[in-house]
Amino acid sequence: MREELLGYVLGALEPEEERVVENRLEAEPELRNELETVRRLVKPLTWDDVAIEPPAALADRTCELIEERHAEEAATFPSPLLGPHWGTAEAFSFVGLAAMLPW
Amino acid sequence: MNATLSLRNVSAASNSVWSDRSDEELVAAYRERGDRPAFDELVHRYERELYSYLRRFLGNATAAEDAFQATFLQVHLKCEQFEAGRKVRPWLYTIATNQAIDLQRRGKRHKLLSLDRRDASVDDNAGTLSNLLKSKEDAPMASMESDEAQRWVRGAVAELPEQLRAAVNLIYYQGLKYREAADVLQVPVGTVKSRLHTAVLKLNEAGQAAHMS
Repeated sequence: MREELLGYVLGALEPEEERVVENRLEAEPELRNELETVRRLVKPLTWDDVAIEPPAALADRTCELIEERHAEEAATFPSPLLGPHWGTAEAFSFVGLAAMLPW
Repeated sequence: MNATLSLRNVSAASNSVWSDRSDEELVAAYRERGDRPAFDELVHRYERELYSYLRRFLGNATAAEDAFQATFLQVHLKCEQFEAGRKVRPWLYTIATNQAIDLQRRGKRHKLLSLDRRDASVDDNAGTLSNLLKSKEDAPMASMESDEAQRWVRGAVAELPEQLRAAVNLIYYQGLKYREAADVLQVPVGTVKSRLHTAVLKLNEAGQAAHMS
């Protein structure tokens, strides 16, 4: 039950599980005491409740990196049969498969 | 100048088209048609959320940036494997978590110390800590200044074994449900509950030890 209380405090339970906990809390005073204990245990985590900002233009740089990677793949395997998002591994597989065919 | 502006307008219009789409639609568009704007929208949509997760998980800004980029490189390479009907968000977290763990293991950037040197087992019940639950006092670190307390708790979470750290970061800091975290970590829900419980107890034990010293 302690893990359910922890989940209840942190909002990690599904709605139906929450209802079960709430019903038991209403009926069991001892459980309400344990809930307070769980809240105290979780409190240290709240001290680091600060937003973490990503470095400038991280998403743009990531997209550029993928674009470069994609361009390298296209230059290495310029087959129109491979879609624009095919990776190197898939391209190698395709080339390997093609080599096995009786042309 | 006009050409630049019109290009920007086209780009903005294109972005607004994709911004209304669900994560699953974006992945489907990229997988099936190679739509680059769909992929870019996904990267931008998760920039803050995934970077924040990785930054806390890895405890290092440069490593978090590397892991973020590696995550989306994997999305690019593996979007064919994305199972229809699955949610994208937990899939992204699974990839990000695996990238972070790989990066950490490869680079040995983190000390391999656990908070409890005597027993680093991640799924034990930390039964020796049950006295913490009986304590009626506030957390032992409560007397710290706020900056000091923030640094302390961030460092203490970073020192947790990786499976406990993942549970804390996913559930507390990223706000996932137990079930979602279990999906991300690919373990039973009961295991996630147990890991989170152990992590919280270990943090309090570490705080008590810090307070005593």
